[in-house]
Amino acid sequence: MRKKIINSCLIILLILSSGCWSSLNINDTAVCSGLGVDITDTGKISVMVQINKSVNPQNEEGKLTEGAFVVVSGSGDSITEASRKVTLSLPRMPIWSHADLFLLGENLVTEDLSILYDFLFRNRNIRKSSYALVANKASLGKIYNSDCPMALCSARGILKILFSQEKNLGIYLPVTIKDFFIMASTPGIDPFLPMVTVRKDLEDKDILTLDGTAIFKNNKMVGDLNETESRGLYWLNTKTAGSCIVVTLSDNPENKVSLQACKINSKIRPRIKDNELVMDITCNVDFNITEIIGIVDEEDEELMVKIQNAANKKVASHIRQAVAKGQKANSDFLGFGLSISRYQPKLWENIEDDWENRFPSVRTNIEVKSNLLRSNLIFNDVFLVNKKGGKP
Amino acid sequence: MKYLTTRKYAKQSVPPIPDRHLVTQDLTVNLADNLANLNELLESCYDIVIKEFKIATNPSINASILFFDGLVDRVTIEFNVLKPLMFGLEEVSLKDLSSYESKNVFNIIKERILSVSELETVHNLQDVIHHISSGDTIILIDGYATALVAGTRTWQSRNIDTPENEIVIFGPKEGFTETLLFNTAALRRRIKSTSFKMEAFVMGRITKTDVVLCYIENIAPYGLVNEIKSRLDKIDIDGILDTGYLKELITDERKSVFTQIEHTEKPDRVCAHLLEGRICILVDGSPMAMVMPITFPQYLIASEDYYTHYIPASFFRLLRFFALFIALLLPSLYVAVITFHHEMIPTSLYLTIAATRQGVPFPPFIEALLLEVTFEMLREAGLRLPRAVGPAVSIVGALIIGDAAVRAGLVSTPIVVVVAFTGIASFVTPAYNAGIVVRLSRFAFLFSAAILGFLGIMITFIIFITRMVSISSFGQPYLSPIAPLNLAQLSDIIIRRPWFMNVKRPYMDGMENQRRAKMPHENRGDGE
Amino acid sequence: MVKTRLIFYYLGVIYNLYRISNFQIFCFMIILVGPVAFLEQPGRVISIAAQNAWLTSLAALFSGALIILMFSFIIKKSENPFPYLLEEHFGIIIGKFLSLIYLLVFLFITSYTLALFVNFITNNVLPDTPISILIGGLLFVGYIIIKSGLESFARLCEIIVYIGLPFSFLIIFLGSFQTPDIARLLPIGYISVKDFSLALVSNTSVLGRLFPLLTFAYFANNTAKLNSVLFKVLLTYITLMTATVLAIIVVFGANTVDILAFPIFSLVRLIDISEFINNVDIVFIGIWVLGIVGALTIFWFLACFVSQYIFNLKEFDFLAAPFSLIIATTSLLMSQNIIILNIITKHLVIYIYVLLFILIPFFIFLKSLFYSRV
Repeated sequence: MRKKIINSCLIILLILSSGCWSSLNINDTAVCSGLGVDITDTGKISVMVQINKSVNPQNEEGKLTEGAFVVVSGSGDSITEASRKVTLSLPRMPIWSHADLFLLGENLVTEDLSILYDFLFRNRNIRKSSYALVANKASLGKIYNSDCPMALCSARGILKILFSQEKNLGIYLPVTIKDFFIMASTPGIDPFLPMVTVRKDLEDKDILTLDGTAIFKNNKMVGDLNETESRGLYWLNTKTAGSCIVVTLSDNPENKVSLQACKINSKIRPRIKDNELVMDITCNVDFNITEIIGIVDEEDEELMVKIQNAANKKVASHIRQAVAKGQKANSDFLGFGLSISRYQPKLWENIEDDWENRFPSVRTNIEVKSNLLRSNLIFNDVFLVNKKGGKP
Repeated sequence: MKYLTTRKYAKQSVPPIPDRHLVTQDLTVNLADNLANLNELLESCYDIVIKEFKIATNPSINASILFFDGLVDRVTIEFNVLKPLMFGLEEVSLKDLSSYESKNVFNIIKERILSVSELETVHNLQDVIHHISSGDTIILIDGYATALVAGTRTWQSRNIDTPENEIVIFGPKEGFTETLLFNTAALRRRIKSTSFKMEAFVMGRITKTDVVLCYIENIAPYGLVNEIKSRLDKIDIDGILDTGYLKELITDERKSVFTQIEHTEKPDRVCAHLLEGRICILVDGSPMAMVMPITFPQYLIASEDYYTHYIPASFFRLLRFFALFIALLLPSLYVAVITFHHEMIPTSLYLTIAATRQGVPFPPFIEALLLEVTFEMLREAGLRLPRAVGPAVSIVGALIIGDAAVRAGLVSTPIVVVVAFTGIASFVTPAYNAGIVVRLSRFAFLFSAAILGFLGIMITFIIFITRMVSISSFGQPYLSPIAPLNLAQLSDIIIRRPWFMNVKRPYMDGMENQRRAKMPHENRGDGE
Repeated sequence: MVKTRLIFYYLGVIYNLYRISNFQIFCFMIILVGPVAFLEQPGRVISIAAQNAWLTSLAALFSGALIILMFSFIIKKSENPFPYLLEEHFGIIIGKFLSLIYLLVFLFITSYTLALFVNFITNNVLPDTPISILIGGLLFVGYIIIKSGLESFARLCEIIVYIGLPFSFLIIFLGSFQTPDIARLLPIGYISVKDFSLALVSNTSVLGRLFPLLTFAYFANNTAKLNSVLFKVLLTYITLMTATVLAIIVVFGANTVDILAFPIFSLVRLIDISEFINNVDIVFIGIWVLGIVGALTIFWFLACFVSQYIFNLKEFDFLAAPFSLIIATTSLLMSQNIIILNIITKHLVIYIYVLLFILIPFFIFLKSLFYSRV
């Protein structure tokens, strides 16, 4: 009996002695919505966190109050040190695992990105499924401190914008940290990231907006894609079709047709032609007609061909511009090398070391096939029907 | 220690128990001696009725009847015992005078006079005492060393009622009562087979309680019946007032919190168990039947499952499994998540929880413990509340403790929701005593969650399961169809197997007669 | 023959009391190969065979079948369970000597598994909790399991498998939806023979963990169907491994996996269901605890069992307590330094598996094949 008592005492002691080391009271925590890393002018690394204030459900207005977030930053010699310095001015423990946004500062991307990779993947608190963006022509603080209408805070606002434009407009591609990391660590492809900036709106207020895509080479940002070039990237990489373009018909520049892509299927394949490497870029797109400006007769079969041709040309030009930009900056963000390594592994083994020099001069062959699927609620141009006085 | 020992009652001399030898004595031929002995035995028994009378003839014979008032049917005694004895002998003797003169008056009375259906003879005082205390009437006749026992048992008892603890919507609403005979009758009425056996035992040194062991021969494993009989035989206790006394004395694992015996108030549920080869014990004076062997997953089966269609029944059974886990783990999961694993909470919910916890003084563990204990107290109080104060307590419980505590900032809202949800889930388990296990283990999980978070919960879970798999109920592993796996049986545990596929009884060690119906394809109800 | 009887005398208690069903054997084996392999094997294979790692996992079906046939042949040809089997085949001196080595190795593997897992937990879930507490907690559980007997342990294993196996597949299923790219599997089949065979050996060596079968098979109540059970184990293991490796490659790509310490854990962290259920890694770690505790307890149990043979003891339950101290100390020493654990993981473990769990049984196999007693 005595032995049993001693044993159970020992067990209880063992259990109790463990205490609650890793426990953390929820009131001592702060939820981060966004993180950011940059290099200051003095060469130190600075880390900035945007923190959400808690939302009281019993708040009768039920509205998001102004200043629902705070932005805190710290700086140090390494990212870890800088992020720990944040606690110097924050009475609570910032919880990073809720942060959906990871912002890279302009200085950081133009100087050296390699300091970031290790930290990103070694640190368990950073969610690899959160999204990375580059701050363009604005400091991190400015972006995190500016307002985003109808959003809890700018970090979440940017993300929502990123997703919704991918679905409805189709210019920029969201890139998760995981994807970014994969692109950076896989030979034959260079990473790209969408960029965010602050611009003045009509009432001269600061608002956040997406602006361009940053492309990288050797851990450095080597250029940026403008809207058109970003679209080229979009056509070749997106998984959510929904891009919207406006094409001008060749015979009548007045006629403008808005098309929305509903299915995009694109491929990049290497081909050897006459001992020369050619990248075949094919892109099949299904479009819906969403708007027509000008007088057109939709039942005219030639018109459909015309629209398709115009769309083909437009998409091809987007892609061509993107490729040209990439080759100019020597950044293989479209993954030509990766495609070679996948489909011509033997060839890739030979040219892998020399790929950097070969890439700018690789020939491409862009082929776009578009197909009109639906014309939404009306068959014919309203204007045309009215003129003829009823359906022909 | 001093205080523990000081309080002592002055030792009083206990009056000696009336001669033990008296009890074992046989009846004598002399009525007066017998009555004297009985009077001595029944001294200070206020409810005894002893009536001395004469069987009217020439020569008259002294006789007397004895019974305990309140246990007997007075009408039967007066019209079927006393009246024929006092007047009926005359008629018989006139017709057959020779036999009256020469033959045994005792036999004539036994065979021709007494018009009661149950008649026995006893020879010693011990039996006499036993019978009158059970409500029979003893007839002593001068000149014979044998007493007649007339079955006149009847007493006021509770009506057969709908069981209060096991309420059903479909199916029989009858429940057991405190009277053993009514209970056995309820079973016998449902199983009209000669292989349905009920073996009686008398237990308890003082109470002499009737205990009946019910089983269906050929279905219940022979070895199991014998094992239970031998365990019952070994019991030596002064009194048995409820099945609960027996329960602790015959189970395999006496020190375990996991109950290995099911209690039920419903005859139909008992019959269903009997048909599956289990064994039932009824105790006089208890409206609860004990069924064994029972494994843990069976606690989640409600008898109603078998009266409703199998698809909804299966759904509700799955729901019960889910509720079991909720009742067991939800508060601890909440504590673990809120103190250790912040990243698991969705961000919007996190912000809300953080806001509600603003200013709450206690850590989540204390908060949860506080409310859980309060909830258990409320439930415990609610069980024994007089009807009149019931509503008052529920108002106090619901309003003051729930709402006011939140408003006062003592606890946060989410924990109230969690505890309430857990409370509801713990009532979903049909068997009350299985619920107790869950309620107790919940606190263990809560503690471990506060110490090591989810890992602690998992460690406790392993210990919990290890304990569960290492005990057995009368040789049946406690998690039986689940571990060790028995697929055929599992299909009637996780879901409710439709009757047309239910061709085999759940297997138990030693069961020989497992088939309960024809094969499904033979068992179609559409005639030729 | 007389000698064999004697050995049976020692085992008498166990032989009469404990019988394990074939399904329980299946569960034991799954627990032995499953969780540890799930945690460390994908990374190991992908780093060797890159995007073709899943092919090597599939190919392990054949090499695994050979190993299983070997084990079942040994079981058929020997009359006693391991470690008594060693004496039967090698004579008493070598037998005892080898058992001593096995005893040490079992203790080592238990400590290693424990250290690896505790290291994993402290890295990812409870960074501030001291290792000793975690080790103590896990060992306490194992101790209780061993004390409650082999029969209860077998039943517990069943429950572990019910929970663990579906969850493992669930992880893979959910994980493979996190921005996968099937093209990452390309080019299929472009792999050098050397890499392929290296990865195959690595995959097969994990199956050496089936070694405790040599003991457990003798407790089975239906030895006739043992082979089919073993092939089910193999199939399950191959399916699990291939699915895991496929999911990891499709989601991360072979190049990235090289850098990750526990790729499957990174996969779990990615899981995001409708933006509500995310960061559920802790749930899955909780499920792994089940498997890991099971796995380490099996080897711990075997260590007790082997020492019963070495020292001619009549019982072995009581050894659980002193062994727990040894295991605790060893794993504390191991997890003291990141380098030690890395060396063990990367190099030592495979040699141990191959040498002790595959080569020595192979000798026994050869011996019983050619020098079969009449």
